[in-house]
Amino acid sequence: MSASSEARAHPPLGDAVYLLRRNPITLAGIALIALIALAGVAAPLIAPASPLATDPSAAFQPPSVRHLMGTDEFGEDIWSRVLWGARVDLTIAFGAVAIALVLGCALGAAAGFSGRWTDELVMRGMDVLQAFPSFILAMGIAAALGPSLRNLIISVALINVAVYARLMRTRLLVVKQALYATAARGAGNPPWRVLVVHLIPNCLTPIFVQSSLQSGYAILTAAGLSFIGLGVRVPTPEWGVMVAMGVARITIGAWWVSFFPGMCIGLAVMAFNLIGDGLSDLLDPQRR
Amino acid sequence: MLTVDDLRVTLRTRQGAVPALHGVTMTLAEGAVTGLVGESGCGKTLTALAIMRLLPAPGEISGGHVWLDGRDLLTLRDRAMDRVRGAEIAMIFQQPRASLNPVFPIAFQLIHVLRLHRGLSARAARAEGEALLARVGLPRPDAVMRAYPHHLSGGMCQRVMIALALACRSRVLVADEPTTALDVTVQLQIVELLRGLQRELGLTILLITHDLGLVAEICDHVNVMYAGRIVESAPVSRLFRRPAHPYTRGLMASRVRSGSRALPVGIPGRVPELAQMPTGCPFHPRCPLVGPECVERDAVPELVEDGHVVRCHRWRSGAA
Amino acid sequence: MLAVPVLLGVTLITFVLTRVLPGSPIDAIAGPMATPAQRQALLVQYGLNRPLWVQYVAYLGGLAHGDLGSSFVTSHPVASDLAAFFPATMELTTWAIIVAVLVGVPLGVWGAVRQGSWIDHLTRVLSVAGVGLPVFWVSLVLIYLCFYRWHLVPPPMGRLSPEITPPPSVTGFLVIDTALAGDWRAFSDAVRQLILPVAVLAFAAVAPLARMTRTSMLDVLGSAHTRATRALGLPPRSVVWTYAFRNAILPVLTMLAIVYGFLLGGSVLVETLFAWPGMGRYAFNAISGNDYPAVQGFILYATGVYLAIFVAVDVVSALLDPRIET
Repeated sequence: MSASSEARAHPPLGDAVYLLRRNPITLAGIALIALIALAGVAAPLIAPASPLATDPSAAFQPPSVRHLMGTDEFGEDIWSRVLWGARVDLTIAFGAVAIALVLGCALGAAAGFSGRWTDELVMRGMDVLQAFPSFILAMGIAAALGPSLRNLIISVALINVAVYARLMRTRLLVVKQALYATAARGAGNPPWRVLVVHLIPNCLTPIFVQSSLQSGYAILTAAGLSFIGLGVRVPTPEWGVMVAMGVARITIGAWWVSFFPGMCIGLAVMAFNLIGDGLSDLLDPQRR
Repeated sequence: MLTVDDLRVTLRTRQGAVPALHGVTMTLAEGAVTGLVGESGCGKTLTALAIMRLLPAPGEISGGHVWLDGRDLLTLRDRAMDRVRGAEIAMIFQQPRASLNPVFPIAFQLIHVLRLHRGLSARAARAEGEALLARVGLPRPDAVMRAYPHHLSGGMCQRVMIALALACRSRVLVADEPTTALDVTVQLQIVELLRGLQRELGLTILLITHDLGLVAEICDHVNVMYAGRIVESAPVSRLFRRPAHPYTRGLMASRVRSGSRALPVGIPGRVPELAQMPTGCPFHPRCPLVGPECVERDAVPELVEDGHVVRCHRWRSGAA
Repeated sequence: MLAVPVLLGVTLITFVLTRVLPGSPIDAIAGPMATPAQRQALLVQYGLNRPLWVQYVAYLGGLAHGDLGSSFVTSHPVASDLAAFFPATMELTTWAIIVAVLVGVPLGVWGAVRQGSWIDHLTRVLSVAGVGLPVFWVSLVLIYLCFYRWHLVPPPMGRLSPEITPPPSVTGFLVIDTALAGDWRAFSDAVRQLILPVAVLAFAAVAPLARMTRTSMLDVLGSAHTRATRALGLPPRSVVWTYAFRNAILPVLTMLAIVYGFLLGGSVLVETLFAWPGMGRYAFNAISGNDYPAVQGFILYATGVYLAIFVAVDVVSALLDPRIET
């Protein structure tokens, strides 16, 4: 009997290790993101060239030992730009998701915990946001704000707010009924403390799962927006814009300009999705 | 008729493979109602599902035999087992409404079963279906045929399930807690229905329940289950008059008896978790007769008298 | 979701977003040589000098009559411009959904029935790839391989090669219209032009559909009623395709609507790359040209189509699921 209570004391860690071992693909996802993040952080150290260094005489070189991923129309080394691009894209992903999370959870908490009118107002607002196809709404916001990195992050963040708001509100409403909330209030705690200390930590678990998936979609949306010119602009090394730079050259055979940055987008998004799937398996024990 | 021989089932859990059934042995006499009684979590439903080879994913049959007419069902290939289910053994379940497919009307499944198992034409199957529904006591069978499960009450759904089982014309019926989810008044009706059908058709029934009153009502022979083992097996009158196993005695004493002023006495302690089985006999932490051998090794089935078997080291010392 | 407040909110956000577009359309219309007086006259002519809320009310009034305003660039009514470009997008996304369903749903069912088989693993890899690889990148890869290297498809220059005359328009779907007109040369050209963009969109759509089907099927296959069906001895194929499948497709229908939303967004990217004369390309040009009414019109139109799909899915779900009382 005592052995079991010890096991109970550390369930999340034990379960996490167990499930990670049984899900090597999720582990791969985490490893991949860590690798990309590391590449981004270490970019100034390991990139052979500056991402903005142009060399017109070396334009459109195919991949070689000197230029691992070839060069683009300005002679910039694509491998270096891809590394620096990791910084930009991961910043967009984490930044947009963080903003959406904070804003969404605040709105959701306000809706879930306050009176009916606030709840109705906030939820109708979320309905309106979600009535638009998300990429098209992002296009509208990005176009309205103008092309820049900051505005890109804002556009991507805004289209994700509704998901977090709903999630937070639902969990909060469910947990609000819970006995321990009543018990805590019985002990003379003011509602604010009850909310922060008891209820919010319990709502955070599905939010982590969502965040991982949203990070992937954030990169896709940001790359798509940059691709059509509504995000960051040339010459910023962002993977979406880099793909755009190679579009016209496909027909003359310079495939590497678009291929490598696009591949990186795909890898990053896939890795985030694998992590998100693995996390949801962790939290929902019936799905193995 | 149907003999379960040393059936063992394990569950794959986070802590590894955990045994859930430890050598279940019992016999269903032909044309009789055999009860399988025990508390929640003792493994009754697992036994039934294992016999039907419908164990859900974490469960695995790890040993033993299920003999039906000289064949071991556990060795059959999937296709062969599909032909056994329904045609030779039918099963009805605890949650009747959840056991009916919600997007089809009753007629659809009933006609399908009748056409499959009895080779009837569509029109004949429809007529026979209505006749079956009438036989299980449903008023307005034509309306029920057109209805969907969510239109029907729990009791009506259970009658439909019984009708589906009858449609298969099997000789064996496994009834897994058929009345547990129903209202008390409806329970009595379903019990009466089952008893009537059993007598009329000579069905061999395995009745799984935790309700001793139900057992007393309609069972001929009873198996008592605890922690994945059959701990006592006896004809029903014998079990109620002279129970041998301390667990059975405890169950008897914990019933509310009408006309008696004695208060029910609960069994101290709780049913152990699968992963934390006590050593030796699993009942020993709660047993009034416990002795040193009970902690060391599990008991083996012993004969008390004809037809009465008990699995306990010290049943003699408790015999009143 | 279709409540009046939501619809009003949609029009309000659309209006606000387009009014916030940087740059003034007057620059584009008037050209660099216009005098201040001429610019002022244009402002008045287009009603852009009125207070914002007045413009919004006027806009709503116009909407009520189906008037989406006139494009600043083409001077046509936006509604008729969009109607002209809509069939191209519709044909693209419809074929993509059909292909995605025909491929994705069986894969999902198979993956659920035979978990851990090679098909299951293949489906999971495809799903992860379809969701992760960006649509515009997949388009480029396919264009490079299939057109440039292997010459399998015609140059990506739109719905029909330049030398083919389009058939009389009946449905707006070139594949159908060319067949109806008996013009088999145009038919095969239209089909060949469709192959790549449909493949790209279908690839992106297969992923969530296959996953949803698989999850839903697994759920249903583990349910009490499936167990009861099996206990009655019904053959496995019936259990899966007749009984389980009918239950499992209900959530997949809702996923179809969501996938359609992705495709509407994705069509903006794909149409640009394949020179496809649809709404997506229209939108892109409108944004570049600061064409307010066109941008507004596009956002509203696309959102309207999206909401209409949801309504359609709701109706079909109610028909298929007897538990929903209509």
